[in-house]
Amino acid sequence: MEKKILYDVIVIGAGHAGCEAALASARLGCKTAIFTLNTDNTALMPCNPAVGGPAKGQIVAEIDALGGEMGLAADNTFIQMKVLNRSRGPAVQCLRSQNDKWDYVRYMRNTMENQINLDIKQSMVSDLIIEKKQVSGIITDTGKKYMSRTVVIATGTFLNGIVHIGLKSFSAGRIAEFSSDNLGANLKKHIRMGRLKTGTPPRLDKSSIDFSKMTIQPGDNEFLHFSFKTNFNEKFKNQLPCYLTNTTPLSHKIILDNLDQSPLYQKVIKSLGPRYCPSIEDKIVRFKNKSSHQIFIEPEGRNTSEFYAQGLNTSLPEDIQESFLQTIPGLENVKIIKPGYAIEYDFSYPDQLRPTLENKEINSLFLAGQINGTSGYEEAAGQGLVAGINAALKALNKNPFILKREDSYIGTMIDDLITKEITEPYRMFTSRSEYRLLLRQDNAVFRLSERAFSLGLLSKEHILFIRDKKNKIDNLIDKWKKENINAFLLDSFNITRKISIHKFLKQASTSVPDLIKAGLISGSEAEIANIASINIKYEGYLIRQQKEIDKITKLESKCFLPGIDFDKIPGLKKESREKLKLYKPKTIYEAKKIAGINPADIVVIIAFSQKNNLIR
Amino acid sequence: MLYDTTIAAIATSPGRGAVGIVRLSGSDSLAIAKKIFFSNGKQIKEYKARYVYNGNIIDYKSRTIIDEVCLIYFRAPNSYTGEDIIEIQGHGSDLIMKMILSTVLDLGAVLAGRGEFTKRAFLNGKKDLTEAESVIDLIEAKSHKAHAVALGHLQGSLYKYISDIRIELISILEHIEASIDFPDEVGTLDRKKTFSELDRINKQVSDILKIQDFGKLTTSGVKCVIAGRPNVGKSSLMNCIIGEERAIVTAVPGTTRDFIDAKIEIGGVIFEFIDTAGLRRSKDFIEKLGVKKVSSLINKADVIIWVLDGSQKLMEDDLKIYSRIKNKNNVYIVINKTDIACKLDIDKFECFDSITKIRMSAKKNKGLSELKTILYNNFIEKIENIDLDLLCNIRQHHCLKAVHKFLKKVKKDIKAGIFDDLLTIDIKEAIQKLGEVTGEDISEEVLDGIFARFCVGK
Repeated sequence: MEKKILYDVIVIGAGHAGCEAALASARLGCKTAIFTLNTDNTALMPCNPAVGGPAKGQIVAEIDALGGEMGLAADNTFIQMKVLNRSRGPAVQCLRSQNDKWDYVRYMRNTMENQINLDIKQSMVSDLIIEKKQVSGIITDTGKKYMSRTVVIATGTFLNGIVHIGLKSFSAGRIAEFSSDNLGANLKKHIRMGRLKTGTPPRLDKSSIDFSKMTIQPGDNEFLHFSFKTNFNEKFKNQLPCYLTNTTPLSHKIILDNLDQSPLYQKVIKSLGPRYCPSIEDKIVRFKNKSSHQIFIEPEGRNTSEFYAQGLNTSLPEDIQESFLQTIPGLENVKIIKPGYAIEYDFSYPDQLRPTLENKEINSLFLAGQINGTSGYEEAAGQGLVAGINAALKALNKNPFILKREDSYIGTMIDDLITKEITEPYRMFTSRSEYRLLLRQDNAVFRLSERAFSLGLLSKEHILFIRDKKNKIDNLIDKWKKENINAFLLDSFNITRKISIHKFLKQASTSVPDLIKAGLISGSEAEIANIASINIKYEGYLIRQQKEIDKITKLESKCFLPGIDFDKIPGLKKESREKLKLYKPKTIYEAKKIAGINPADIVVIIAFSQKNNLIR
Repeated sequence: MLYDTTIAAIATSPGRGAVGIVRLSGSDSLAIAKKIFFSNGKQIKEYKARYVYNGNIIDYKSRTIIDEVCLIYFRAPNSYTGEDIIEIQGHGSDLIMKMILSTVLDLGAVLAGRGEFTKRAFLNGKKDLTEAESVIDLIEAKSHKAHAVALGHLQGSLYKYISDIRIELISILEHIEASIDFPDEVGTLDRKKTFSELDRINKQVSDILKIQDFGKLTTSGVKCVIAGRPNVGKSSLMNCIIGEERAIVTAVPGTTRDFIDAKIEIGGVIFEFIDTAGLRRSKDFIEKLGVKKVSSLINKADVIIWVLDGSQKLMEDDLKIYSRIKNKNNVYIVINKTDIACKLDIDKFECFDSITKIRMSAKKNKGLSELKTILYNNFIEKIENIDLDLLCNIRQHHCLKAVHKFLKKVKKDIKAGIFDDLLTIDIKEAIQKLGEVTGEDISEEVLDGIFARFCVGK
């Protein structure tokens, strides 16, 4: 007799999305199972072994504030960490860490293994059990059924993956891993799927690299951390450097001479890759005037001789890869351990999702990560967290958890995914957010942790710590409004009149280190003081952004009632009607954001829904 | 309701008619009316709906009367749009209508889009769908025209001009954004270079604003300052202008008692004459001419009418006046008192050769028509010759002024060392405002530009 196990949440895939989804669900008290093709590759970084960077660092901080794991994993396994954009302004400052790829896997795997409510299964899922638009479980390729209230698919590039190296191609989820073809084929019965391409550079053997010809790129020599939970430690004293080198005219010539062996330029690969992560072939063809491109050589870990060659994504044949690599200073005698490759894979058009990442058609089916057409570990983890939380809340019959553009980069990303057309893998940039000044890495905990606490994803101890920090910042700002600057600052800044510290900090040329030098605050207060100072400097701009948000909130409060049928609205253009049926907006604001819906359509919709009492 | 703004527009067609109507719709309509409408010099405390009030509309900023009007209040929902409506019926001149519109816009009303009153009527259930279909068609037709959307009737050179400026700004923004999102690959902003680029771009914006000012002359009038030493007949000239002219718009003392001001119409354009006659009472008027007020009057003038006494030789005081006005454009010499024997030796001075001279006798009303003809020929023709395509409507003009303001701020911030992330805010606002003129959105465009221009990516 078949033994039936009922899970609350099943997660398919144990990459960055899957891990966050499974952990969040289990932590919310749901009986959770995670399926992976290979437990040894849990939370693997198959491309650049780095976490964070512009917008991504902010996402990691948001994941952390929401009780996710990525920030802690990065803090625990980094081999180098630095602050980017120091000179470009506090709002866009962010952390980036280089991580030990295998330490990261071990850390995440241990966390998963030690998580209560979470079962780990190494098995290939081949189909979903779907009846009457409701998912109720999964079937593995050995025919075993697992029942579940909700399912999160986080399969990354594994659906019908095809790896290309030169004009050779073969089926694989990543290089040397199975592709999940049955699940891919079965999903197509329910979901609109498309195809995308991405790629990775070759991995080089350390012993064959001459680092003396490269510029050393050290980490920052101070305690830095993604997670608010990470306590002071001295790991920063033991960092590994990265190295900078560059391509030469000869490398470019070799590549241009061999484009006839490039799957990209021979149209073997038809799907679109990301513009922000072009292959070296692409860079050289598109930017003919540039005689050199920079290449970062980065260690993949402390106990491996594999080095990652950032900037050299390629799908040229192995021997061509080797010959152009050997024209790069420091790589004259380089040996390739793993060649670079391109991969094509199926993705699900994310406009089929709700803001909870649940499919609009099939109830209880959630999708997260690269399968939604995104790129990047952080983007995947952010979606995994949201999908996992919502899958759990749905299983528990609770209200959904929705992040918005104005409260987070994760919310911005999901909003973009569900309302905009995906034509290339989606990566987060700070410029995608209209509220960049509000969505900073330093204030992520204050933006999101109260919500995580009320969900049950942060402990009492954690929220008290955050509230205390917030109070300290507010008090400091108040204090600075009353307290004047001292003689030292008057002198060194040539200020003639005594002004408050608050006013002093409003000036562009002033900063917290000036206050420390003047003895007005101690070095230990620096972190709090920095956040307070950002709030003061940005005050006027933050008010402007808040006004924008208020306007939108007003539009968002105009909700359509469930009974609205866009087919019944007279006077709508055919294309608009199709778009509305596809995107199923819940509010006037959502309808307004859909590309191709014009003001006239909105007017018609409002008029119709008001007349028929279909709007609240 | 979706709309919490109050809209306003001129409801009657442009051109001269007996009556012109400015209409406001929205919750602030009444509050705005209360600020600018006075009946017998008093505000009306309680407006009765559908009751015709007679009184004056004032310009809110300058507190001067624009026109005597009839005003009607329609209380929501018993109005065309279903919202509070104020209808102001004034005299049918483009100038008056635009002045009234401009003052209500200053008070927070927003210029109504095409068909917006009807759209609101429709939204508030005042019209059913079939009735409103024609309106929807109108709006749809507009949005189909891609770039022309916000441009209305103004395309061509203005569109090109604005989009060129916009493209330049986007390219600066792209650089900053690229350097923020790809710090490894794209270097930090060259602030000096950016400053000079912004400076040049903002000059282009000023240029187009200047054209607007010139274009504005057709509607708000050409300022003509009458200058001259005492007793050359400036007041007689002024009296002659006022006395003879039937189309006087106003003839009231100016803001200070020193100046007399009169508006007349020549060939459809308003000319405002300002007499500095009051100055002659001062003991040393030349010195007084140095006073700020007069200088600023001369600076603001579109035309200077320099009056000389034809019955006397050129005097040193005349030359002192000339030194004040020699750098101005549109200087005309009126040689007055030609009814008396001519003694003026102006031909001896070469520097005056190029200035148009009009001989007249203000006292005897002779020569005024010649002055008018010359003004007409030299001024109105020029107005007619400017590229009308580069003229904006009020909304576009407002947008461009905002662009100018934002760019000035960015320049200041660059000098002050403000961080890149803050600079982008005002640059974006400027681009957005330009986009409101051309009808484009920015975010995706910036990303596209980054990928096209910078070789970025891991």
